Amino acid sequence: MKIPEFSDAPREKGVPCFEKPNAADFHHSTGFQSELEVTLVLEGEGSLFILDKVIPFCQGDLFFFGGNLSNPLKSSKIDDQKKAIDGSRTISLFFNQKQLKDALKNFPEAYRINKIIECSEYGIKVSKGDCEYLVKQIQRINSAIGLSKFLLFLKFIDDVAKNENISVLSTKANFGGGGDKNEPKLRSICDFIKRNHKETITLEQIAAIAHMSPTGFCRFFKTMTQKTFSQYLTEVRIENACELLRNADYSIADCCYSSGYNNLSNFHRHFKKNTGMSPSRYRATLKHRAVK
Amino acid sequence: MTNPIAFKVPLYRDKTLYMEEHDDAHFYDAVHFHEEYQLTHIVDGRGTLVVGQNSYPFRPGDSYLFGRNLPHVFKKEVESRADTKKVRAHHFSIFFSGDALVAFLNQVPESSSIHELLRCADCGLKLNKRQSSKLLSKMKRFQHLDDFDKLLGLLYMLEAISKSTNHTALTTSEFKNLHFDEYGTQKMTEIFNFIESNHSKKISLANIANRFNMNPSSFCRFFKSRTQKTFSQFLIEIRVARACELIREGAHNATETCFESGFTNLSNFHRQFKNVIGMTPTQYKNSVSTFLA
Repeated sequence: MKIPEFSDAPREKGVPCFEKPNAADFHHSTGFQSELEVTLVLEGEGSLFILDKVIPFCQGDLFFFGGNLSNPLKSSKIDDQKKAIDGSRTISLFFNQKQLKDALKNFPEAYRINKIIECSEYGIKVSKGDCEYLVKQIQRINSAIGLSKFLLFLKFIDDVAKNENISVLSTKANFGGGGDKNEPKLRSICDFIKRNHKETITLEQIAAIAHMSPTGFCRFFKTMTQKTFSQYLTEVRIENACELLRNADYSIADCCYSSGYNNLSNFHRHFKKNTGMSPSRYRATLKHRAVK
Repeated sequence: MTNPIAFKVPLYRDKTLYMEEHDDAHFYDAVHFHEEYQLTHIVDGRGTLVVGQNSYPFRPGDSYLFGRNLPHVFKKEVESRADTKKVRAHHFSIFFSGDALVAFLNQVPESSSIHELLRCADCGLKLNKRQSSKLLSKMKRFQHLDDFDKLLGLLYMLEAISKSTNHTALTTSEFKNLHFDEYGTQKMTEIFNFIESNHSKKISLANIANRFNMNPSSFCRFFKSRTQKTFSQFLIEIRVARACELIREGAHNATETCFESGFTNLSNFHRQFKNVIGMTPTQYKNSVSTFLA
């Protein structure tokens, strides 16, 4: 894997953003773990591997990646050899997530930005913006100094947050718009699913864990998470399968059975529905990127 | 110096700053202090500014920055009757809470000049001519901005002010640790807290006056002298602020928001909301929506 070279722009004290020009390949940097990354795609298209999802990207797309997001793997389009070699061109800003959070925590007006920071843990995509305009904004941020740099940056994020083409990437995040993640009952249900998703979990079983009747459980789960129990279970399983597929030592059948499916074709169907490509294609895409 | 009285700015917990355009025949005429910083630009009106023990003449075009708990008042010149109608008392003021701003600035090391400015403001500052003249257009634009842009706007203003020199200090001693009007300060805080925690229920004037051991008319006088608003105006502003908060959280529709924030009548809610915010609840909802789940 090629690590993109960064311009060693000296980092001004306290200025939380700088530019990463023209990465030859398009993938997440290592070593910026506590930083929130804002990346704009200038050229090229392809797909992005993030948690349990494969997301297509193209020119003008803007992405936010939270600091704790384990390296989202990105790749150029595979079926066009030339493009893959040329790679995509992106421009990125990095800034210290904690610092930003602390700075804004007493400003209730900054609710949009706070929401972005919160959701960036699952990846955020703003699709098809006006590329030229965005580049100009980013360059302005870059050339500004001192406090106004920070203020321009905040303005930029706030404006982006108003965009209606914004969406959270991983389904993990869509866990209860209104449901309380810390609800003890829900907690124990999710823990149970996480621990046991490799085996068969029947509705009766999980309802018994929550001390509810199956119908009551379904209603409870749906109101809390806005998805059905089986949907949720599928997502957890596919996410696990994605992780396994990244490891080339397992066969696809292995991945299928060890993530809780006992039927290959069912696994394929669910996988395709969730990620948009078949397991073998998923692996091939990854492999291609690794070889380059 | 006459005894200054404790003033309360209607700054609900969902805001860091409060902007006001005052355009009337008279200025607020009691020496007063409040815990918020105040940035004021005089558009029209002249007279005497009293800050602490000192007094200075003020004219249209002057700008001032007052620190926390610094007693001050703009006293309009007494004119002959014929003039009174012509000369207005017109100024823009921004009140902002120091704590939130300082917490922000602490995270941004480049902002040390603003820190210094806020420290100096505790003695009161008259801004230099250049900055004063720039302030007017900035403040005029300010009114129509989105909440977050207002905040950024304020930071830009403060930065510009802090970068230029030759501001005049108005007093020499700091007033931070002097306690004027302790009775009033405490009472206003109690009243504000009471309103803040009970605004979702009906609060009648008789009820609240009784609670603070006053009769209704003296409560009204007490309240108005320290907020420049009547009790019911103040209550409406707090309720609307709460409604905004609910809308932003996105969990409620307009009807729920109305009843949750203490209004009892939908059309009244809409009217008051429009009065205070300048748009209907639905328009507001659209303007603040975040598309993230």
